[in-house]
Amino acid sequence: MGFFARGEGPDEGQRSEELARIEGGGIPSRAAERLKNLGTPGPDGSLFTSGLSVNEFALLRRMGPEPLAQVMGASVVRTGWQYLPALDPTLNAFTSAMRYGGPGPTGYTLTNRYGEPSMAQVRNYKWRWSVVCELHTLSDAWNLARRRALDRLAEEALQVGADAVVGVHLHRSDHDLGSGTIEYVVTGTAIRVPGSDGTSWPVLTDVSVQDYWRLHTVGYEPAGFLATTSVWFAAPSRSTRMQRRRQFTQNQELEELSRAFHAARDTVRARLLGQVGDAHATGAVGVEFSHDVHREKLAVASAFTETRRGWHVGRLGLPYRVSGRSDIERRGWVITMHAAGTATRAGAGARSGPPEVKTSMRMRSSNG
Amino acid sequence: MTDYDPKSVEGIPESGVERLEQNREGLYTSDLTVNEFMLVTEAGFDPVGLVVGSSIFHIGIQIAGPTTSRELDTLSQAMYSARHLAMTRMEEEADQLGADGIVGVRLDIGRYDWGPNMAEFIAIGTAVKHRDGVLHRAPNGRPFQSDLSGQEFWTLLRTGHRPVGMVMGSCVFHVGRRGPLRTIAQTGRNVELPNYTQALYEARELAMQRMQTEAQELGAEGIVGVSLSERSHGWGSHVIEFFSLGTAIVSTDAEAKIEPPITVLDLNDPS
Repeated sequence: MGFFARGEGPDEGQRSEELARIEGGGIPSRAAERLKNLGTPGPDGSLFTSGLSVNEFALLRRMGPEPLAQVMGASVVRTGWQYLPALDPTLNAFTSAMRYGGPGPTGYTLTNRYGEPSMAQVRNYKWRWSVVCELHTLSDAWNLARRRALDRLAEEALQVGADAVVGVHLHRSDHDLGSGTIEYVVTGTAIRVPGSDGTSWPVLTDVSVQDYWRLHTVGYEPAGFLATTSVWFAAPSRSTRMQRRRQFTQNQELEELSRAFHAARDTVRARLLGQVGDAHATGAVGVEFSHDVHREKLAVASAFTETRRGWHVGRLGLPYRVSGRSDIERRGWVITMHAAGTATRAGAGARSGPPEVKTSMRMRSSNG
Repeated sequence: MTDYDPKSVEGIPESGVERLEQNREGLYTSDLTVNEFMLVTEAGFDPVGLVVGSSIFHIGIQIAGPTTSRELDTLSQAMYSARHLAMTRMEEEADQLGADGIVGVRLDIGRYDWGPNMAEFIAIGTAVKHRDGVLHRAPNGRPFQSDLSGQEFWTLLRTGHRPVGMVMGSCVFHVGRRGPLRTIAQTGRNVELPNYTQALYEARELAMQRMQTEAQELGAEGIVGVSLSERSHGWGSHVIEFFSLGTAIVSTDAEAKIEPPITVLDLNDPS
């Protein structure tokens, strides 16, 4: 391969085929091949791989299921453009007249589709409005990346005929592959319960085998993996900012930030609840919240980025002007709230009464 | 590795041979904690000495086209053989001591100021020998290696399995950048980047595949404790090493039953 080799190598066709598989949400052929090798018995029995620790391995053997393979899924997603919600167009008699053309079959038609907010409205927005809203594009990007990665994990598990994947570990890696990319890697160990044909969709869970055992002891079983992300934006109005600056010696609540955090947690909780229902589960255990906060400048959605500013001719030959005054940016905090957990439901071997518990006390506090 | 002589001490420096001689006379060193020592002894093994292997490697340069996603096989080879050499030297030391195997192996990579392109690959572990002389070596007659702690080693023996070796796979991959046309075509929307996904996915699969092949060659029944790590050893953001490491095990007693665990509540405060 030369120094500035532009070629994609000899297997150009194979490469594009691979990309097509990925684009369709599938797993690479190499992964399928590796898992097939695992399934077929070699000269001395089939091999299994597992990310389980020895303790988990021992416990799993005690319970019955056998480990099949360490499975994995990955996805890199690039986020789209995120705007803040647009301002309402002005409801003003004079400009309304200018914005509407002659009568049509369904009433007056809009000549200027870009109903502009008035100067006063824009000033008001900047000075008086604090903005707290969900950034749907970013939320969707996180959820898409995770969904794709988890689907690939499940597909790998299906390839080896697994019933469940335990110890699913979500990992957000940052490889610095360019701005605005989200990378998710998930790993887990596929297991099979003896006597099952392994054709049903595998149940994913992030609990360890120890926790699986504990759930089993009290008569519950994991029903699915729950995870969601919600991204929120919070920006104070300019008047609030100035007021805070004047009173910087005092304690003051950053009201819009509190509101955004509350709303983000609430949204995430509601979505998790929805996922619990989808998994036909009765509850969730081990839900963990985590969040990142950073400051960012976001633009308000407006049509002016797509059109020319200046004078235009309307339907009746009436001139109208696109001032572009609503090309506004707001600087604020972006809160990315993640949550992940495991849905549970009452298992087949439900037991009544609590398990027998012994107590112990170590004489030293360190594990050694 | 077919021409490997198990009696070879080629890689061990003179002082090392001396030290091992001392160990053989009865004194042992080990980096086991007291708890680990107790459990290893309980499992019927005696520690015979601390064994190390080291290899300093100069890592070459390999360049791929900016938009090409492919494995950098020269680098992969370097990372793999360096670790392999360190582990083989450690194994030779253990062999000198007549050990059955090595537990608690740690693989480290040391970087030094005096050699920007050099890395020291170090393997350290404690050689153990079965007290009653029951052979526990790997099927190829060499001491087994495992990164299991003393506690894990004990538990594994209780389940009717024994370790036969540490298996690894390594893959250095260049993740190609996206061409400018693709970048423009993909702006504005949330899209999955199939070329990145595929490259990262494939690199991990290669590492896991290699580890699996190694285990198959050892005649293992399975691999436990697989860890998959990603590191960039100063090669820039688009060149990443994927490394998988695990312990290959075989079954010794299919009938072995594990005691049912008891639910224990720890009354110590988490501190």
